[in-house]
Amino acid sequence: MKNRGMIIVVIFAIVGHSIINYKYLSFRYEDYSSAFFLLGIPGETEYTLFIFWYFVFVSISFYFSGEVSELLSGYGKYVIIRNYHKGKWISRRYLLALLRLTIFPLILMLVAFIVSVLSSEEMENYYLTTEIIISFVIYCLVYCNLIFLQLYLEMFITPQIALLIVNIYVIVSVLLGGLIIKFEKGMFLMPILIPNISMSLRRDYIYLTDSISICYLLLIGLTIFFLSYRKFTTKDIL
Amino acid sequence: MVTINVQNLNKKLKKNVVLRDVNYNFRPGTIYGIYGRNGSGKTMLLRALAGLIYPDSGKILINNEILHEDISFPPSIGLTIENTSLLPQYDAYTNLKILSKIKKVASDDDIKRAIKRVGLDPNSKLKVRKFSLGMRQRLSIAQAIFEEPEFILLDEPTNALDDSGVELVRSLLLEEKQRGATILIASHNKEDLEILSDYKVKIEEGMIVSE
Ligand SMILES: Nc1ncnc2c1ncn2[C@@H]1O[C@H](COP(=O)(O)OP(=O)(O)O)[C@@H](O)[C@H]1O
Ligand SMILES: [Mg+2]
Repeated sequence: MKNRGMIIVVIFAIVGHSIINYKYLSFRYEDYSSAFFLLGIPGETEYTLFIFWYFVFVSISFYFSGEVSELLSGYGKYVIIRNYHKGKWISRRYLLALLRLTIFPLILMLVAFIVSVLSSEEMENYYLTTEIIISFVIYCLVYCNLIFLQLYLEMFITPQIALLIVNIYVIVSVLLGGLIIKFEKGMFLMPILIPNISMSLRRDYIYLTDSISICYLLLIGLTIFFLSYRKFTTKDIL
Repeated sequence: MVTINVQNLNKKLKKNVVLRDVNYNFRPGTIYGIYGRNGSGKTMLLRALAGLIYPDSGKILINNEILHEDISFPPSIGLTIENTSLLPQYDAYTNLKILSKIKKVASDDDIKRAIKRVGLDPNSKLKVRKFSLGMRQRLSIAQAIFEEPEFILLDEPTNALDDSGVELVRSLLLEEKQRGATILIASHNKEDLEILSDYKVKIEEGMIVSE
């Protein structure tokens, strides 16, 4: 069974991220209320911000690691044959992942709010705008896509390699995204560097409107889910 | 009561034919002994019947429901697969308790009775990590029967057992048979199968060759 203790690391990462964001971004982007994490990393990658941003992702990625693969070998056999509908099982897994990937940013939002209150701001600075809500949805969708991808890869390779591949993709995307914005070259690559889409500071450069971003991410998420469903229901469990 | 009907089943793994045109009917209240050499496909056949592997062609009907189409797994199944351990960090009772939460058909008493039936102590706190091979084997058999399934598949159940263990499995399987279960035991040990089974089925290179 996987190590659920990872949740503590996730919370730790979330708190660290909120404090750093507040320190770096609050005076620059007052209109974002306290949800600075939705801004992401500015165009040119600032490495302190990046490290804390990545710490949140990597801890969540570890938290989900093995979620699918643990059922596909060894002891998992005794579990799966008792869940006598594979399709329903995998759908429920992905739905639960979606739910948890909404709860984590909600906690992030809450912690961010507490951090800025503790920093003695005036209460009228806290409000919820449509822009923040849309940014929040996009943020959740990006995380879902990345974690769904990781779980999908677990159907082919070990969970460790799946985790590694997704994490390398995330790091390369963010660093490359920073370079593309800095040198204003290769913008066309941005849509495939999905982690950048979660950052409202970078979305402005990509010329993706919010509604196009949402449709695009939904499409990718559903595609990965569909592929996972098909692979999982026909996969040999040896 | 469950009848299993296997029709023209074929399966390749990495270009290696593991099941070849398997046709067979397994009836309730009967114990089938599958025997054959190492690598002949006994474990594969059990995996296929349990719904764990996806056939290349042919089909398996469980009471006329098609496996992988109408259902993913036989609805009432108990299974052991060789070299598959239960959770080493828990004791025998906790292991079955965790599994019982999935289907919710077995009570605490059922769990304890099953552990007793295989000759283990249901109140022992000894972790599976510290079990001997024979004890692990007994516990996996308890795992396969504690929910009183209609379809029981045991892979090499007597491998690590002494004579008294084999005798225990025998009386246990006779009770399950009386209950009407359809039972398959795979073993490379023909003598154990003589004692345990009603019919012997020989398998060679993934093919059923005699009854
Ligand atoms: N995980 C696997 N991947 C590919 N081939 C396998 C795997 N496990 C077993 N096989 C092959 O399937 C055939 C049947 O194996 P198996 O059913 O385990 O034999 P038995 O249980 O009769 O000893 C063998 O040729 C074996 O090499
Ligand atoms: Mg075998």
